[in-house]
Amino acid sequence: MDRKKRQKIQKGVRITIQLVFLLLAPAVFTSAFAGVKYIFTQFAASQMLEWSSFFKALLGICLFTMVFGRFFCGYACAFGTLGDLLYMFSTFIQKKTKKKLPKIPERISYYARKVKYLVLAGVAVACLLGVYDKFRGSSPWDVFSRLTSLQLPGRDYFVGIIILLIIMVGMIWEERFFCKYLCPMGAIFSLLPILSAVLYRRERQSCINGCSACKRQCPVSLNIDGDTKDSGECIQCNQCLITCPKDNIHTGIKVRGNEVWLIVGKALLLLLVCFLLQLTR
Amino acid sequence: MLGKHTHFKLKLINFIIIVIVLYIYNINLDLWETKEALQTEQKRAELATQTLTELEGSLDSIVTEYTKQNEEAQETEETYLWKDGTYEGVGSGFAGELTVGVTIEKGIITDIQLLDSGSDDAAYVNMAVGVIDDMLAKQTYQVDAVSGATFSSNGIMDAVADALRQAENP
Repeated sequence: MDRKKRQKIQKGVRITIQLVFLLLAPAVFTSAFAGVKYIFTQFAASQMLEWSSFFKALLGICLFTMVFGRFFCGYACAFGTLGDLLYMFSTFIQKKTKKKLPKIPERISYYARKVKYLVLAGVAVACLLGVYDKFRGSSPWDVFSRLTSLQLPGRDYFVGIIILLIIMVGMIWEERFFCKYLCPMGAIFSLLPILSAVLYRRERQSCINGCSACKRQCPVSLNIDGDTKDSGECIQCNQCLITCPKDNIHTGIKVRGNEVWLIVGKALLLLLVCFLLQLTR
Repeated sequence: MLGKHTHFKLKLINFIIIVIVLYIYNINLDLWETKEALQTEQKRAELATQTLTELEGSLDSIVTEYTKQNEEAQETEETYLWKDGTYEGVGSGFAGELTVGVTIEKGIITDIQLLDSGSDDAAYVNMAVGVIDDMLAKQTYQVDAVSGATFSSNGIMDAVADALRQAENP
């Protein structure tokens, strides 16, 4: 099978899995995020942490991420899928009009990634102070989860709708804009200990001089080097692996040419986890 | 510093610390809640005891009040069941008629005397007089007969009944 064909198949598989999760389990992100809020609200009220469904969702997704990497982000998150669809639309337009949106410089991008920790901290503090409910109408996630549950957000969500629209503009501008810079769940995931075996690494000794195809294709513009301080950013999208012209990208699990089944297997397992956590429709 | 997989190990330590912190938080809160529940329970128990004591106190006072009222009523009551005086009554024993003298004071049977034991055997009569104490204690002629001297006992009881009939207030 030639590279182009294989890439096409993998992209098709990925978008299919994403759409399946968007249809079957669009609320996983919001549930897990509600688990984070739950922990801090319980702290604030000095209440015990019980096995609430949100807490279970958070724990389930975190454990899955620790074992398989941020596969959830790359293949299952409704917000990520929204971003990918918008970016696909954006690249399509860019190709047609032959105009390119300016790229965010790498330095700015690098620091902007830290913003998501601020978002997480902000949410945590708001929950601890018990004022989160006051910002309910301005939460873009609430607006989006209303949309995925096929309800129109009401007028009290005005601020949230505006923020969501701004984020969507960002998603059009840059691939995985929200995930990279703003996602509070991403902040948690990137702090999780992810098994090194599932992380992608680049065998540089046989790389073509000056080639950066993998990094350019990476939706989160990562230096693919296995277990680094930024390896938590990797969303397991497999893009680098299928892009590399020299097949120099590997994970610890060495299966070559058979990644599709590995990915479908992971997706089914994640779907099972979501089903067991009662997060599916 | 930590050899291979440095970042993984650091994040793992980080994660374990977070889990431990959450766990300790929960355990402490659990202990705290149990303690609080225990304290509430103790307070409730104390309150219950206190209420019970109070109730007992008030019950006592009610009883005292009632008894006092009753005594007062008895003192002021003009008519007792029986008129004061000494009455003679006759009842049939085993072999003849028995005669008793009953003394009433302030409506209370104070004395019963066997005046004439008729032709009943002395041994039986001596046993049968046991019912007299019983009658004085219970303030009624309806008591149990002394076993072995049933006829004489019944005779004494009948005689007392006869005397009390005469003593009855109209």
